[in-house]
Amino acid sequence: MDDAKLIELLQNDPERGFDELTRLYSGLVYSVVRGKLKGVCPEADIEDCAADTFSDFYLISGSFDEKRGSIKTLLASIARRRAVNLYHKAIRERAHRAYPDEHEEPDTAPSPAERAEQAEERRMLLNEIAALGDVDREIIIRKYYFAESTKSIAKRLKMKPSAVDTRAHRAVLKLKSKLGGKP
Amino acid sequence: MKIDDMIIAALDEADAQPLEALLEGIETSAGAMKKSRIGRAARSKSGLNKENAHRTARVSRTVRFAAAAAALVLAFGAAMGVTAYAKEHREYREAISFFNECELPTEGMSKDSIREAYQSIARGRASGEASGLVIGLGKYRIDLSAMEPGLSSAAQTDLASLWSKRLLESIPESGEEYSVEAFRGLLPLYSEGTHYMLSTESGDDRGFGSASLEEYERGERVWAFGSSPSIIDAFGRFGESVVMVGRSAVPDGSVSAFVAVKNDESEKVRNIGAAADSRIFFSIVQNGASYAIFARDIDTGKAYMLRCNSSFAAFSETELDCPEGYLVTSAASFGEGYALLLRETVSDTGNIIADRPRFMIAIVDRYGEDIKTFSPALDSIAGEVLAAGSADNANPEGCRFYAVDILEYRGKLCVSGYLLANGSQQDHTAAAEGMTEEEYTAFVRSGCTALLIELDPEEETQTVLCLEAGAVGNSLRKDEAGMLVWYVCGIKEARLTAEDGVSHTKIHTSVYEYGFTSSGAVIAADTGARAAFLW
Repeated sequence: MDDAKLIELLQNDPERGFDELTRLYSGLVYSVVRGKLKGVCPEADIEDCAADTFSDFYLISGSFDEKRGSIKTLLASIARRRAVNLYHKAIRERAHRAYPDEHEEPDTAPSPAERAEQAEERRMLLNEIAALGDVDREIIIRKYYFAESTKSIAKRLKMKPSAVDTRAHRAVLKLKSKLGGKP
Repeated sequence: MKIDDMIIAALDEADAQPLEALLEGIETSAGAMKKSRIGRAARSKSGLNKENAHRTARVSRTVRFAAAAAALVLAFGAAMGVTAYAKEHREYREAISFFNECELPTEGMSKDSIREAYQSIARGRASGEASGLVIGLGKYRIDLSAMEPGLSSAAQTDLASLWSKRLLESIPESGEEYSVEAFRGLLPLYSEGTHYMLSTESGDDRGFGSASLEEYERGERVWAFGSSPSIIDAFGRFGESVVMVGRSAVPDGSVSAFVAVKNDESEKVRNIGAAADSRIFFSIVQNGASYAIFARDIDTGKAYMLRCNSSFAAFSETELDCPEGYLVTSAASFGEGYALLLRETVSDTGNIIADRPRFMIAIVDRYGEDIKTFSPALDSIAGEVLAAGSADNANPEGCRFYAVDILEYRGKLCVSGYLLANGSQQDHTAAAEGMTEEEYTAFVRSGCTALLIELDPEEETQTVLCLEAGAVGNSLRKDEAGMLVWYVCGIKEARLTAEDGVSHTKIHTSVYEYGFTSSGAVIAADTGARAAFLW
């Protein structure tokens, strides 16, 4: 089912549309969230965060504009942001439990100029990842976005784990060099 | 910043557009149950399924009642100096935890009384039972014989009788005999002092006579819904409403299907439409705010699902794409959709299978459209059960497992049934030649084990949850607190009988209700009901 039809179904028959939405994308959304929260939050929180993502999407689905991205990537983007927020919250709580008497570090947020520079650097980095060959790109995404283990990636790509590690290492060096660092 | 951290930060902040190129062609997956849970929670959060938004686990009132009864009886027994067990702190703490869970007061009870009451309730949960052979196989183990008057301690007998009194003060003698499968349909509606009886009078050659469903409160008929000429195929109680589904004969010779909904305020009958003679409804399942009614066609073997809303005002029918040769015998809600128990009725070569069926599980979505089947390795359980010593002198090769009912419980599927260690049902009947009735009863009891099996459709694994020697596993339900209840028919007598010129085994049983608490304890009680089955 293409995006336009799915949005139409969501508007006209929300129950069925929502079923279809979760059927198609709960694997992706769960993987995106888990990639960030694995080992930090319990499984129930991970699933809850994935469910919140669909709920968020449902609320904005009426103004969906496919020029700004597909349903798939919009969901992935929402899921990741929710997961990142939860990740920081969990880390803060963990730190507070470990050192309850310590005060929080003063805010060292980057200046507007630094933020602009960071954003540009990240945009370039994403472009370079996209420009990697399909296999290398998939390895990088699985490793850094979905936090999959080498063994799991190797199984999916029908490669030896050592080959996955080698390709990941070379791809990272390539990205580093593209950003101006030494290979 | 390290390059690894930079990559992660860039991906964390990526918008939808750059992700298009990054995620292209990359497949992801999650387990079916995870997807189901996420979907359900997401719908709830989006206001699309408010009914299931929050379900708080509560301890069943029946469990609390039985626990209270056992506590009182055992406290009395302890005061009389009847029992004297060594005190073990760990057990005491477990008992206190259990009592707290059941919201039962322990004031005024000694440590011994508390611990003994708990042991009585949670029989077999811990190690040290006389039947130690099965420990480690089933997650739960209970001893049916302990519930029989004369064989058990006074406390257990009193507990059983108290329970029976509460559940079924008086059961009208119907004189009806059912197959295990047919009887299953009647059992789930024994609860809270109320029970239901289907009353039928023979009618025309197609079976359309006078049919009524009657509700009894403590032995007294409270109401009845009747229709004639008709057949009531299935019924269920959902909250305050009792829902029946059946078929009526129309004067022009055709058949019309109906649903009747009865509650304190009204009685409504809705016509579903024309139905084939051979189509039989067998299950009504609630799933969130909607219902599904399942039917099978005994001529064609096809299965159908009717979806309807909470007022039973709108129906849509879907033919289920079940494997050829298999007939649906039981249905339950499962995740967002349903689980079906399929029994093989026609072999690959076209022969009718009456005695050695294979069973299969089908998982179907809420629209009845997407269906997935798998065959649990139920035969492999035979070896485990035999190795555990629940049936003597039998070999796993000759064992037959018969599945009777299916129910979702805590995200997994429970299958109730029974294992025959001495061959199939017909093998049993053939073996009866030359045996006295006592010998034959002992033979059937020794080889028949009620089994409650937990299936994980995601992993396609099975685990024995509970087993009971000398008994037939029957129907499953959840009580009002959502806790699992298993009906087990203890074999009292088995003898040969001839029906339509063919030898059968008639088995007389007593029906026991096993309740499972969230802490893993099992409580058994004699319901007082008796059931007879034909093999």
